[in-house]
Amino acid sequence: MTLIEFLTARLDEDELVARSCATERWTVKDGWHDGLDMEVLSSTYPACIEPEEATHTARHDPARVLAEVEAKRRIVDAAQRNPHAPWDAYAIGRDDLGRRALRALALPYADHPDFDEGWRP
Amino acid sequence: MTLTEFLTARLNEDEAAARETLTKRPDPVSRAEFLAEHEISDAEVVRRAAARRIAFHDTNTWLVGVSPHRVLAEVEAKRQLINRVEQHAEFVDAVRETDSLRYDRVALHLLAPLALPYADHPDYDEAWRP
Repeated sequence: MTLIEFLTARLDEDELVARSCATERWTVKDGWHDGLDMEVLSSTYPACIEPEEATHTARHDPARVLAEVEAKRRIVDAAQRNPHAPWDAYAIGRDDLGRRALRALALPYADHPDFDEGWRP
Repeated sequence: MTLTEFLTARLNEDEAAARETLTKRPDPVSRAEFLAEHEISDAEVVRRAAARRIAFHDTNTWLVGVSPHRVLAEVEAKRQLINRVEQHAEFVDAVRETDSLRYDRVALHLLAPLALPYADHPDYDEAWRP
């Protein structure tokens, strides 16, 4: 499995799970969560349903996850479609900047069984 | 405000909120521990999420990006990416100052997408939109 295949698979998963959420927007209203499925979070990640955690949780609603997926796909695409420009012209050793960027993007998934330790920056 | 300054400010906010959450209510369960505890694989979690929507007890919200651990990992990854682009831009400038391969072009491809999730922030500059 290549780094790009790995990243593509993880991004597909993130998108799938975000799209499967009942609501896309989670907000904070009167110091309390608004829009998120309390039943789901209370049984899976209890810390995130406490009112004092509403700000953090709302920052990472499914809409945000989808935006992150889109952003990372653009970077993966740029690194793939432009193998010789603009960064590869000044490859530092064997690691060009595009590849370094992709390795950084793979870090949050380092505990996945398909993650190759050789990809660690 | 430059793109890098904007991104750094947003990442600091993400980090601060995640750390505050962890301080108030430490979460001892990592994604790997969760999967092991419930004896399910990544693929199975994704399959169930797709088939039954997310409302079932054994889906880890880590996958949705809510877990502070995941958020901190994302912040670290993005900071590394920014550092690499900045170092590379300095390297390129030092090698050939008149070259068109300047910071702006590199940033356009590798950093501008990172700002997209924050596009509704008042400090976001539409000129950064890829």
